[in-house]
Amino acid sequence: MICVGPDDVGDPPMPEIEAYEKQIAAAVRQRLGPRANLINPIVGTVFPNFSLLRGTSRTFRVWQPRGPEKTEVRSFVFADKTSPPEVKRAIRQAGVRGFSPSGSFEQDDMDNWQECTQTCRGVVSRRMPINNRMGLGHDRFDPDLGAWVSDYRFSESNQRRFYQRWAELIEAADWGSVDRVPPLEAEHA
Amino acid sequence: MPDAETIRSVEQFLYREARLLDERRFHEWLGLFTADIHYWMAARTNRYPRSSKAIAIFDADRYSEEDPSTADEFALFDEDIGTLRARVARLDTGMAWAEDPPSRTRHLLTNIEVVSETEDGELTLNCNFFVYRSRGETEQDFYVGTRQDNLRRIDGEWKIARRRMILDQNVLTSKNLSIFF
Repeated sequence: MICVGPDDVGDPPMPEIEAYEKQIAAAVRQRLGPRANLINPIVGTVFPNFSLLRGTSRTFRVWQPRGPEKTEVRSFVFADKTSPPEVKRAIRQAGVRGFSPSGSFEQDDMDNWQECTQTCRGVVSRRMPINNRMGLGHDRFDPDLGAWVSDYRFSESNQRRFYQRWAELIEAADWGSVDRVPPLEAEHA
Repeated sequence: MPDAETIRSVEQFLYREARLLDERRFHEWLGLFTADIHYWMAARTNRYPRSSKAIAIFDADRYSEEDPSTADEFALFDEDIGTLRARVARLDTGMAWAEDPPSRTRHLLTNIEVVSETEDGELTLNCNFFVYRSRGETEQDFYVGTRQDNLRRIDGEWKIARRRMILDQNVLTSKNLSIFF
């Protein structure tokens, strides 16, 4: 998960959305209480294949495996149920224009992911472990959040935890021997 | 119904537009739209027909057989003149990686059919498209579908006032839509 500070704004740059977020900010703060200050997510993944993006668009993703080297992307745009129609329209359009197959960000992402996959298949890449060290040493377990956080905004702490958990599941003999709370988190709970 | 000469001029207009896209003359292409253009491509879903015995429809009044997304649902393009201009401006930044190196495209148009003409001469017409895209060494995609355009004559020139496109794929098999239609 990548977050910004509690008062930073990562909203899509559309006047309808910006005005709406300002208008509901006090109510959001009142409902969430002090928890509102803990986290302001921009992008994140819930293990293993559910992702969310709140900055520049409002989208949920399901990464559906479709066999070796194939993933089907299921893409959803979410909006507050009670938001006015013009806000819902703006959020939908921000999703289409930014993060959809034609989106100005996502059309590049698809190309990047494809190229990354191809590059990793090469002889030299396969000889060495992948380098996921960005932000190493800046991770810590936050007991209030019950989650790992990094004080280094651009880090690979999420990738490290993702692959550690994936390895735990792959190496387990059966579901019964899988710890419901992963050992690393249990240590800090 | 417009006369044969009008239909011929519309066809020539659409073929020239297709060529501008294939030649990547996007700034000239932008000049073919009216200021109030709505450029829209539906997303699709798989739907059973209402008569299907494969599923149980509990609330028939709310069940729709229509599979392309509607105007208030998610789409693959949902653009106005400002965002079309922004897309073209982005291609000029040197940082539009999905088109760097650029796609090679061929836009083929067929089944051009005039649907209606308003009193002031605005035409609604259907056509089918087959767009081939090749990129890199061996990558290739086919985008096949239909579209409905509204064309308006401004100062003697045809302009596109509305474009509604439907691809014939449910799950998009190409990795992106980094080209125009």
